[in-house]
Amino acid sequence: MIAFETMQKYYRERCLAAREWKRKGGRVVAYFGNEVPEELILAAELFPLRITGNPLSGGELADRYMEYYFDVQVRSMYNEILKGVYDFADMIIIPHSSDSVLRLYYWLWEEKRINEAMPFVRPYLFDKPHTVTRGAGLYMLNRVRALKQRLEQFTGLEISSESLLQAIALTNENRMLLRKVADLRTATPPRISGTEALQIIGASLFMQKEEHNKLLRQFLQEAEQLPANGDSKVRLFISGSTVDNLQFYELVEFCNAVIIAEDVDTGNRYFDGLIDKSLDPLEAIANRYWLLPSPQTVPMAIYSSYVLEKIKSVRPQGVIFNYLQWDDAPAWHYPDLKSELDKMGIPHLVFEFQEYLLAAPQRLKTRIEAFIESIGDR
Amino acid sequence: MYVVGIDMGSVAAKVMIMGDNDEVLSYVVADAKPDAEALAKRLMNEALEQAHLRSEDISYIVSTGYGRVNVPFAAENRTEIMCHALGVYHLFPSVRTVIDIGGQDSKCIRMDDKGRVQNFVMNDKCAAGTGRFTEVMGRALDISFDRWGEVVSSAPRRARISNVCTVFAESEVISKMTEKVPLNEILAGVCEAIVTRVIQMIQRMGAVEKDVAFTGGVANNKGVAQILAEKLGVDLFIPKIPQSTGALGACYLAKRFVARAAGIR
Amino acid sequence: MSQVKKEEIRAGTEEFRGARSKPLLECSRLASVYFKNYFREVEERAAQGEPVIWLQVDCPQEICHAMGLPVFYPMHYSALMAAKQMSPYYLNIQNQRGYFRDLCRYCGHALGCVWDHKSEIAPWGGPPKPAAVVVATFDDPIAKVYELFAREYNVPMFVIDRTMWSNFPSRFWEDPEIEPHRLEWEVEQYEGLIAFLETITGKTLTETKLRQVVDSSNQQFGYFIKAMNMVAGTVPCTITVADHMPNLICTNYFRGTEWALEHARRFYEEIKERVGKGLVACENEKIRLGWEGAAPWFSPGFLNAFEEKYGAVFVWLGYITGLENFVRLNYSDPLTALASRYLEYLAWVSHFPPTACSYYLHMAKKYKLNGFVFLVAESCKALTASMRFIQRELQAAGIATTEITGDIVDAREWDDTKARSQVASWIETLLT
Repeated sequence: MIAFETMQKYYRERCLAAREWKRKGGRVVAYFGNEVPEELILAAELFPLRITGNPLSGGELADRYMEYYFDVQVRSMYNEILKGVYDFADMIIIPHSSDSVLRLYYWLWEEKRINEAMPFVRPYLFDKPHTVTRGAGLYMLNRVRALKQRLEQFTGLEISSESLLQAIALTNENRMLLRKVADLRTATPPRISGTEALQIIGASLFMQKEEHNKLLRQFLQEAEQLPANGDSKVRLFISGSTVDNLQFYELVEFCNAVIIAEDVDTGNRYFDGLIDKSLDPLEAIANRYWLLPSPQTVPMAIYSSYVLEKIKSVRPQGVIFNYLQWDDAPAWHYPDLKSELDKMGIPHLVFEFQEYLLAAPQRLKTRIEAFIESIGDR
Repeated sequence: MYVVGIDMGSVAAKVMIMGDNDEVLSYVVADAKPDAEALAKRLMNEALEQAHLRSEDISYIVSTGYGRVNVPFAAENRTEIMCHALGVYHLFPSVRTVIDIGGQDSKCIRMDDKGRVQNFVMNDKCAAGTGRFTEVMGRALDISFDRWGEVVSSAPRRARISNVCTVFAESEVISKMTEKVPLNEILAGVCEAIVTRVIQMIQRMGAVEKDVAFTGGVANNKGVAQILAEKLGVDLFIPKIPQSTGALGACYLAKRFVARAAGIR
Repeated sequence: MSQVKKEEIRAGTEEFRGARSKPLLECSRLASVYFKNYFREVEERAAQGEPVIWLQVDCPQEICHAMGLPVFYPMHYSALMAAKQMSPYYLNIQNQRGYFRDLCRYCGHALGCVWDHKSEIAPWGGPPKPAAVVVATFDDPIAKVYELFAREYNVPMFVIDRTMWSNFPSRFWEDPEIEPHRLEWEVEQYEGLIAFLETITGKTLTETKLRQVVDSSNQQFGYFIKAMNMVAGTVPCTITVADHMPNLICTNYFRGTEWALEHARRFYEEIKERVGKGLVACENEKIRLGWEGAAPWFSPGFLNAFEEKYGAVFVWLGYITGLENFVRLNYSDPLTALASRYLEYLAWVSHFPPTACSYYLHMAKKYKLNGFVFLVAESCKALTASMRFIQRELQAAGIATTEITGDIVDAREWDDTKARSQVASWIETLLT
């Protein structure tokens, strides 16, 4: 399947499309997180490129100034930035999301202060609020407007309403197509695995949206030819920390399971929530990014409800909670989620304090297999 | 019908042969080796010899443990979680919680009244709360495993061992010895430290459900067993050979597979 | 599990229970007495049906003081729990409920006590029941912790959504410029908070009273600044951090109250007298040290432990950074004054590197420090991160630094002997 293989390629070679764009005279905005409105970047005719970590890359540069108790995935991103992986990015946007991500902004700022020659541009902080009051909504709109202005200053071009609407149409289409891909995962039997889905969704973060939409349409057309993925595999839902590489999913699905959905930001949560085209575009964009629940949302009952709703909608046979080392925010939700799953009779397994690089997968495999055995035994 | 259960643990490999009436015909143990497959074959042959059987007499083989995939002649492999639970269930049907402390890991399994695993937790990240911890401390204090029970019982109080890391805990023990803290108090503190780690792990599953079994090599250690029972406020069910429950469970599982294949429920 | 008694809970922590810190001031004793009496007063008022507000330390408590509301600070109570050697017990409760060990312990700690519902063993009989809880989104855990408080007591929660700094001028403490959009929203949220408190408590806030409290708080901090300027300039030092703790830390909890203003004045007078008489904390002073962050509350004697043998005196405590900037004089409107105070406080207590580095160097020079000890408390990123940057800045200026691993409240893995030995070894290198 050419479409899938192409998306796989961009998932693996994450800067490839952005570098091609640059070679053709375009400019690139590297950003992190589901909080940053891609539509603004697209409307400014810039290339939005998601910053991610790399478990196979070391951490020596990050270790100089970042204390060991930072989210391990953020540490890796910090290391990649310091190494110069994003040296070609013309702008970097860091959102006010988790404590570790927020500090990434300040750490990068300080690195530049110490050594102006560091291979990245000074970042911009997108200060997204965490509460869901009217005042927070107005503040979010204020910050979206500020980001728009910043991008306009950067490009020297005004971002028109029309270009915003076009960008919204593009990203909404992307979300709707990804929703159809998500449906393939929950079919009986599933038509694609979680590992495949991560690559399909992830490709959106690293390539041009129009191109990705084209590939998705092609992929969905070819979907009928996809082999059924095994009735006997145990259907699982993954909850917890970000998953920006394939290690964990591959390990789980190796154990006679298939991951049919997740709440992680690089999985199904990425494309959740369409932008309301009937509203003023900036307001619509602000609302969508502000109200999409995340582990930082206050009160935490909102995100917990969101996760449970997602679980109920796909009816998995089991849930695996996966929390990376020092990624505190989602871990606070665990006791509530666990309790609700117990009431619902859905078995669950938790991996807390996980390393970013799975150096000893055998131990995890035993636990996953035992979990799957216990589900099969019911 | 004869079945075999093979437990390829990270520290020791065990092979058990079980007969028609659930009688254990042979049980052999050896230290784990890098060439797990060769070890499994050798132990299999030894077990057959002990039981006066030939390989053709065996109906089914199930392997379990860390190295379970390294037994190519096993018909099936299952995790040690499932096999330990099943093994304990057949020994003590009233048990609902199994605490297993092996050489390199510790785990707690909750099971139902049919020996089915309901929930489990494992500590496989660090040596604190495992048999390795007891070995290191036993060496530091020069007190053999078999004396831990009597020594711990004699301690009027327990020294506090705060370090989680086995290496640093060893240093802490040595410091206390230098400060002339009585050895029995240090040892009691060591046992308490192990038990504390294990209980912290168990509590992740919620309240402990009785009856409780204690298995794994460390279950032979009466000092640890004493303090574990005290902290949990229960009498522990300890098998005669606590390290054998994995292989035992694998044998029962093998019987299940045979029955299933024969269409017997 | 067997029934636990208070003595059993504390039993394992004998070796550092007995080591008290050594405050020298009468003020310190008075502050400690006041803390306890205030707690009793709040309990009494709660028992009589008055609404008690639980508040986080970075929320505008001045509003509550101006409304005459009894206030309880879980963060302070958390420190008390640790000082009473109860942290292992309560943290284990937190963990048993499924909250992992690596999560927030300093502020999260009080949850263990709240869930335990055993006033017979809780410090000072346990916390008073709140009518409402108020928190700001300072970091990931804190609003979640307060939400759990609110849930346990079935009371409403008010959240101040804290906006973040994106720019820092280089000498931030002299001229912090807060972006207007942030200030505006902070003020709006305070207006919401006032409406919330008035509704919950039935009390009214008058502008007059609010202004009085803000003015008092300015004067209060004014006294502390003058006092600490004297402390900084005096060699050997006239007081150690043992006296910072009860006096300055009380500024965290009683900003703008009558008692706090009077206490600040007393503190200033007592320092002035000591300096005038040439009274010193340690005759043998050879090395002046700074301690970054809060000292481990369960080992209160730790910071005085190096005076006798080494003449190593901790003269500056990083826990109350940015004291100079609490004063707000150029605002006509008290809410805007408070908003700017708390938005700036956020930068200080978070130790964001662009500003923390230059500030720490400034303080090190002002207090004539030879070295700094950094407590690496992994469970509180918000209070203890950016140490590496700060250390770099200090070392470049010839100021020695060292780190010890521990926690502000979690005594479970604290090896007091080892930690003291580590600091002592480092001090010995400074002396040679």
